[in-house]
Amino acid sequence: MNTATTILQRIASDDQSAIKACIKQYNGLIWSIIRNAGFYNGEAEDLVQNIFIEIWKSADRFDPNIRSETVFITMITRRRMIDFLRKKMTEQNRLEFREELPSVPAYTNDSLADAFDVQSLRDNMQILSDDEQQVLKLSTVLGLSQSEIADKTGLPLGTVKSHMRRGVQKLQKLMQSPQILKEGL
Amino acid sequence: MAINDDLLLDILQETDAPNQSGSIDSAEREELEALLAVYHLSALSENAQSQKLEPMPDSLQHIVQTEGEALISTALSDKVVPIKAKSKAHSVWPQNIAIAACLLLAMVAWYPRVIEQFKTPETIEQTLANFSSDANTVSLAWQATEDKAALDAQGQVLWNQGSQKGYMRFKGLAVNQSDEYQYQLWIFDKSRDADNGHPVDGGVFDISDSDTETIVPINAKLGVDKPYLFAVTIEKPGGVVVSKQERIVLLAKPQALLKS
Repeated sequence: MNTATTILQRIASDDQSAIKACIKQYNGLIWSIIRNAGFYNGEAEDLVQNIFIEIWKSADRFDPNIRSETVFITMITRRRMIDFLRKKMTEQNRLEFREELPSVPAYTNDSLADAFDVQSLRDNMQILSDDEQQVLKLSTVLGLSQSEIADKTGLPLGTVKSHMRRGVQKLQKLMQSPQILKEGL
Repeated sequence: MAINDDLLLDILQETDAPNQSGSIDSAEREELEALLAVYHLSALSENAQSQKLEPMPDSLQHIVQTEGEALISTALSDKVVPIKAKSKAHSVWPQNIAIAACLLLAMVAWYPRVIEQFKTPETIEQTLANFSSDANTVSLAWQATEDKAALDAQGQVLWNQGSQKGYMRFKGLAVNQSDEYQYQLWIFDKSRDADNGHPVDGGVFDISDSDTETIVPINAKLGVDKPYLFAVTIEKPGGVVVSKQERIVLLAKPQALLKS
């Protein structure tokens, strides 16, 4: 395990210079996540500020022995994004975001490759059925609720729930594969 | 913290967890959140059209950087030096002296942040007189905006660029309930504007009596290089890191410079 002090650990020890380093390292990741979910302009800026404030305040909870910095920051980003979606957006607004998942400028970043083998993960993603992948993407990337996914796809709600549950269970097994993980989640 | 992620909630509630009481295991919840985060990352990179990363706008990066630096600056200024207790076998006198010394040091460090209301008016006036007599201190008159809180407001702001300290004097500014809203000072700095930065937070304060004068020390969270405007806004209790400037009540600009 890498014993070098991470950016978040430096922030937790009140190192002001780590703030700029964190933004430089992760601004693209966070921006890509929220832009892919359909946020633009003022709402995107509000959301980004909320996300970074939570990152600053949560830095002392980060433990590099448990998971990578990239995943930790992605978790915070997703939490804030989903909270924002639930509270600010009407159901109609969210469904109108995209007719399909966008092909957007890719998020590729060295820190992501450090966390796990992205290509291997992509290659093995085929263990999920098309339906399982679709509902997982609509939920994780766009933040749609299961009932919204049912409305959008025409699938019964029970089927959506089953696809999600099976998809997550397959992902859990996949993530435990030594071929996928370099440093763990 | 409430979970608003339906997927996560559903899985946690229906999974065959060992905890049969129905309560959510926080470790399991966190592992599932991590799993979904990893999946999210892979989904983002799956349909890569190019290797180009879309960066966040520079102006937004600056805002976020300012907020982060202000938070750490506040955290550093709030640090308390712990006083360790010694064993009973030792004499208590050296311990008491050490405690007193630490408290005295802490008081000296925290003194500028204490609102002057605990001093007698004569002492405050003397403090301000001494402060104003400094050649580096400028005095600017407040200009009230049309905001209803500022209709009868007047006063001045004193600022010393060398010491980075100052005071605000108010009369007629509307009394506020601190659990509803508070006043917050912002110092606009030309050197930060050039970097698309935001004004410096000068501190949050309350007005308890608009008929008598209130004096508030300025507590700038960051260094101010080229101040050109002081503004008081109304913000939520506790203040904000970056103001949306929706309610500006008072402004002080160099055009209203008074000889101090």
